[in-house]
Order: sequence, then C-alpha cells, then structure tokens
Amino acid sequence: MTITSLYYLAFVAAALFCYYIIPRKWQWIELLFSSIVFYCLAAVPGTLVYLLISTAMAWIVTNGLDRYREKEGSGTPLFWKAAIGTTIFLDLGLWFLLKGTSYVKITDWVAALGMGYYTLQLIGYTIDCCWGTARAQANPLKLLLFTSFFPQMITGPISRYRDLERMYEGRRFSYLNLAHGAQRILWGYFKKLVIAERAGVMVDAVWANPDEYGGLFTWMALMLYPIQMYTDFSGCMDIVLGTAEMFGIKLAENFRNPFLALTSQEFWQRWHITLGTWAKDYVLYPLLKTRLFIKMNTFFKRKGHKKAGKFFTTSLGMLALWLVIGFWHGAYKYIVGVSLWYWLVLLFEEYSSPLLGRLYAKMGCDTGSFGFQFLRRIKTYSVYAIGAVFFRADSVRDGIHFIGRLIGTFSRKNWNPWILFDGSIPAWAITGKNLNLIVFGVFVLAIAAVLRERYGYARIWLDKQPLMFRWPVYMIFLFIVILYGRYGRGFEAAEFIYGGF
Amino acid sequence: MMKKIRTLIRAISFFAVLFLLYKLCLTIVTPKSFMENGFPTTSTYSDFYELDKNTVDVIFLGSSNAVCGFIPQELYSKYGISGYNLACEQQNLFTSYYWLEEALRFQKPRTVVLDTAMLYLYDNENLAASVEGLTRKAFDFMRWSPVKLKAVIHMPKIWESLSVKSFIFPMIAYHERWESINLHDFKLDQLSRHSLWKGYLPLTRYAGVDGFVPITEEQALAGGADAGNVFMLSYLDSIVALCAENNIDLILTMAPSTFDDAGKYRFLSEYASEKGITYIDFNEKTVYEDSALEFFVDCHDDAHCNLNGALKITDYIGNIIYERIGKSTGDVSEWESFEAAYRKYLDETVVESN
Repeated sequence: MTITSLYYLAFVAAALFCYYIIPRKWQWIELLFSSIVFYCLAAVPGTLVYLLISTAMAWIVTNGLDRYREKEGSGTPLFWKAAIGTTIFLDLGLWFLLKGTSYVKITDWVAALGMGYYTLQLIGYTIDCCWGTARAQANPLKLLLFTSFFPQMITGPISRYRDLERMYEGRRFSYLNLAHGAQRILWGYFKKLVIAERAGVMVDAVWANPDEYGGLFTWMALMLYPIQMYTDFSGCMDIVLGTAEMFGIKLAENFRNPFLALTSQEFWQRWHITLGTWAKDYVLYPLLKTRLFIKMNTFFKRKGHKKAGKFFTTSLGMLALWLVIGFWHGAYKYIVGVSLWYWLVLLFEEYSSPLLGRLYAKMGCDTGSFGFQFLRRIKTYSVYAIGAVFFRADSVRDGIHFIGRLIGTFSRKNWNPWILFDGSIPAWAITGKNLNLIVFGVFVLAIAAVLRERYGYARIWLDKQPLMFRWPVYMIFLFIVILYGRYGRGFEAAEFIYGGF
Repeated sequence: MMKKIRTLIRAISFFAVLFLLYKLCLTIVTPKSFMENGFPTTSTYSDFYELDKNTVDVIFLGSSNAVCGFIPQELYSKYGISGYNLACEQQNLFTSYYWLEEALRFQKPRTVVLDTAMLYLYDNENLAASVEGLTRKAFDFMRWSPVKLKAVIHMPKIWESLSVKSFIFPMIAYHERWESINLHDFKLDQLSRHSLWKGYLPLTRYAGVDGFVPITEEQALAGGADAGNVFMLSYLDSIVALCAENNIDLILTMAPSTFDDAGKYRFLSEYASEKGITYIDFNEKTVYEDSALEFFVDCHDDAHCNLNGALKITDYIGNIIYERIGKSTGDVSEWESFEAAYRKYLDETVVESN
C-alpha cells in the first residue's frame, strides 16, 4: 500500500472513523493498532521485529535511567552513559546491517519500513532522556506508537518525542482539522501526481538516453530534477502531515519554500528541516562542546589565531554533520553529493560572504533589489541542482559521468542550441500538453510559496476568502489531481524518492 | 449546536456538489462511441434502459457481425415483432451472457438471437477472446446491479487490467484520456436519445469480396468439428441454460463471413441439435441460397453485412421467429413511431461500391 493509492485513503478514512468514535483515552491505542496494520500492509510484516527491538532497547534504558534518577538524583553515572551508548550503537548497528548494504553487504535481510527515520527518532529520544530534556515514557506501547505512527513511516519527518507527546492525549473531533488535513493531502497529491511524476519522465529520459537527449537537454534535466525532487518529497510530506492533522496531531514541517533561499545555508534551513535540526542538535552542537573541540579552540586562541581556530573547529564540526547526513542516506554517492559538496559550498559561502559583500558595495549593487535577490536564488538553486545529480545517479561514477556530459555540452559535437526553437522541448519524452501542465504546476507552486511566506500557510490566506471563492479553488485542485494526475493503469506512481530511507 | 448543524450542512453541500461534478467529469472522460464515430456501443446500451419495460420480444446478441446484421426496425416493419439489438463490437460470449442477464431485468424477450462468431475469434491459448478495452466499453454503460457486480468481480480473472476498483472508480481507467477528449465526449444528450436503429449499425457500401463459397453439408460431414475457445464455449452453455430457465427460444446464428468454415458449421450444428435449439448459418449453402444473399454485393467487407445483406438475413430470421411467436402483442409504440422514418431511410439509401 503506497500513500498515493486509493487503499491508503480508504485506510485513513477507516482509521479516522474508529479514532473519533471511541473514548478519547483509548484513541492512542487505536492509533497504535492502525499503525501496526499499516506497517503490515505497506511492508514485510516480519520486519516489524526490528522496530520492536529498537523500541524495547530505548524503553529499557530510558526507564532504567529515570528510575535511577528518581532514587539517586539528576546525574548520569558511567554505567548509564555506557548503557545509552550501547543502545545507540546497537540501533546504528542494526540500521547499518540492514540499510547500509551499499557500504558493506553483510546480509540480504529485508530492512524495516522507515528504518532511517525511526532510528534517528529513537536515538534523539534516548539522548533527550539522558540530557533530561525529555521524560522517559513509562508505557512501552506508547513509545512504540511514537516510533511507528503510520503517516511518518514512509518518509518521515524525523519527529522529536517532546513534540509528539501530546499524541497520547485524546482529541475531540474537529471539522477544521479534518478539512485542513484533507486540503494538505490534496496539495501533496497535486505536487506528486501532477508535477513530480511528469518531471520524472523527462529527467529519466535524459539520464537513460544520452545519445537522444544530449547537449542542452542535460542542462535542462539538471535544472528540472530539483523541481521533481521537491514536488516528490514535499508532496509526500504534505500527505503525511495532512494525514496526521486529520487525527489532530501536528508533525514537524520538513520544508519551508526552499527555492526562495538566498544562500545554501538558508536552503538547508528550509529543506529536509527535521534531518538538519536533528544532525545539529545531536551531532554538531554536542561535538563542539566536547573536550577535544574546546581544547582545539583554546589552543588557537593561545597562539593568537582566534579566527582561524573558529574556522577550523566549525569546519570540522560541519564536516562531521554533513558526513552523518550523507552516511544516513545509505550510499557512497550521498557522501559525495550531499556531504562533501554541501560542506565545501557552505564553507565557501560562509567565508567568502564578507569579501563578496565588500565587492558588491564597491560595484554599487543594490543587494536588496528584486533582480539581485532573484539571481542569488538562482545561484542557490543551481548549487543544489549540482549536488542533486548524485541523488539521481546510480553511483558516484554515474554522477561524475553526468557532470562530464554537462561540461561536454559546450563541445562542438554536443552543442545543440536549436532544440530551444525547433520543437524538441515540447516533444521531450512527454507531450506538449503534459509540459504545459508542468509549467502550470510550477506557476501554482510559486503562488503558493509567496502566500506561504506572507501568511504562514497558503490555506490560512484561503481560509479568509469567501466560500464562493474557496470551494471552487478546492474543487478545481481536486479535479486537476483526478484528471491530470499520473496514476492508475500504466502510471502506477513511482515510489517516493525519499521513501527508501 | 447550531454551529455543528451549520458545519454538517456545509460539509454535505460540499460533497454533494463535488459528487455531481465528479459524475459529470466521469461522463465526459468515459469513452463513448456513437454511430458517427464507429460502432454505436454507447448509445446501444444507454438507450436500451430508456425503453418501456417488457416491450421487447426479440433480443439480438453477438459481435460486430450481429451489430451490422440484424435490423430490429425491419423485424417490426415486416413481421410486427419488437426487437432490440444488444450486440456490440467484438462482444465475446462472456459479455453476451451478462448483457442477456441484464436485459432480463427489464424485458421479457421470447426469443434471443445469438451470433456465435466470437466463439472462434481467438484460440484456446487466448482465454479472453476479445480486446479488453472493448469489453470494458460494453460494461461501462451497464447500470450497477448484482449482474454487473458479478461480471466485474469475474472480469479481472480474464483481463488483469479490468480490475474491480477500476469499475467502481472508472476515473482510474479513463482520467488519462484528458489529452484526447473531443466533441463526441460532450454529446451527452446522445446517451439516451431514442433512435430508430435500436443497436443496429447500417453500412451502405459493398466491398465486392470475391471468391465466397458457401459451406455444403458434404463438406461439413467430411471434416472434423471445431469447438472454438473453451472459455467462450462455457459461456455459450451458460446462455443456453439461462434461456432455458427463462423459457426463451434461443437461436444461434453465424452471419455471412469468409471466416466461417465447415468445422465450425459442423460443431455448432451438432451442439444446437444436442441442446435442442436452432442454428442458422448464413454461410451454409441452403440458408445462403434461401435468404437470397449475394456475398459480393451484400457485404460491406469479408465479415459484415451491409444494409442489403442485413435486410436479407433479418427477413430470413424474422420469418422463423414469426412462425414461432407471431406478432408482438405488447406495447409497440416505440417501433411504430419510427416506422415512417425507417421507410424513408430505405427509400433514400442506395448501397454503393466502396
């Protein structure tokens, strides 16, 4: 069962019905039951055991520590530190065994659904309990619900325990939650089925047929892939968040108009937000607080190189952060395309910005002008697009080969600017009508992005509009998805790009 | 409380409007075929439901051979018998069976004429002896009832893509048609517009197919019998049983076609004789001669009668039916109302060479 299928909608409808008709104190049990049923329908049921093992380990160690603290005070003795360390190590080991097969193939066992996401959630929860920023959950079944809550099993987000704690409280039926959730699901389907699936066909054609789609097609595929990826991943997140909202549960946002970012640093504060903040909170900041890093800083300060010290330790910490993010994605290509590329880009951006600022000032550039900001957004988008090559590629070699094709575009053999004029683009893997739909979709995305920046959410703005305007908007979107969505026979929506983690 | 009621009313109104729009959208994207753009499958079935109950005495079933072969209005004009042609393009016997069952919900026919060409169109390896898209088209305009449900549940076992969910939510199958929507998709008034043709498709050309030789009794006895597609045969058995159960006189036919042969003729003759039903093969020499058929000028191509051919075979079979059941005694106003138009059409139409 994929979340773009009719079965998913029927499943959510049934789960919602049961959720709101039972007494509120039992609602979390219904959610847990639904989550387990969903898991069995969407994945190999036997793999649920991995999820149970990780949850059980987290429950034992956090409750053990909690009891110790109740008796002995707030410290964390070495034994419990070791126990927590072992739990995290075992969680990571299990993840590596099953999901890290690209690094070392140890076994052919099927991994659990959403393993990358729930493993990080449980590690975060365990560390939070150790730091005292979260209280251990005494009920193992409630902790299992935190790990297995069904909307987030496919592509996250990576939820924090303290954000989801309210999930255990009952919820009154809310028409607004239901309506807002449904709207968000619809928006997600629009992104995924109308835009991402079509853009995917065009991008795939360029990757698969270098002879037919060479030269400038390669550049266009490069620039189109981020749109495919964004509409795919964020579309899925909209479905996930919309589903949770219908149950009255607010999950963390993973996207905030990333293509409006002016810098790559800002981009990563808007793209896959929960992974970025997780890595910062549980990797970067703890690392910067370690004795080693403090000693390094002190060493540079003593030598009179305070700035160099900051540069060195921050760079090293960021490298660790990006390596963790790249490694989590589960293949070497991500370490190149995500970790090393963005680490270098962010370092360059961080340390070149004062210099560039002075340069722009000397040139008399109005850095606040629309044109200047637009160009900065294009630059940020392009930087992301280059890294995203390794997302699309099958391997590091494949990615490097594609970058070679990009460079080779300017050779006499491959230079083909006439494709911009001779009707080749409307015939690029899909029909002209389909291409128009992508253009229309991107235009709608841009409007929604502007509304979101201004009002928080586009639907908050929409809520304020009269019914005679709102209803047609909802219905038009619904019929766009129903008619123009790529689903059904011959168009089984591809798996979500971020569904494999 | 008032707020809750208001919310409820609003939600119900929203979904009601949505449902209506969905139905409209679905009707538009569902492929439709009318006489202007091919075989009139859509209008044949949607118009059938518009007939008054229990007014049809003869139902014709079968593939395109039957669509172009039997003229219900001619049957009325010449013998005073009310008939309706429920055949459609590549209607396999599975479809014929379920459409007969469906027809019996609304009509009490005394005779059913079934063309058997689809028993032979494909070999046994190809269980589904019909193009799946045409099968779907034949069921799209069947109203929901236990009959349709039974057919739809059975269908995926034969045609994998004709899933139950794609019938419950046909948009799954047809939404991709948005690129090819045309004028015909908006001719919604044609869905239930009474027509004098009642399922028949008049073809007014002749191909001049040479070399047609009718089958003789001797030829049939000399060779073996061809039982055709096993799956289709099982549905032929079901149709025979359904007719017997409803006290309907079943007549099997084979319209004029170069695809017929002595093996098929022999099998169907023996089958009919064994079941105690009538089999009329217009390719068999005596029937061919008695019906005054001339393949060269009476056929549009090598398997479909033109208007002249259809008149001849309808008259031939009409005579047999008349001898058995006589004139229709029920309400025939539907057929009577088109009589003048029909006569005018015949007077003005000339069958010409392709």
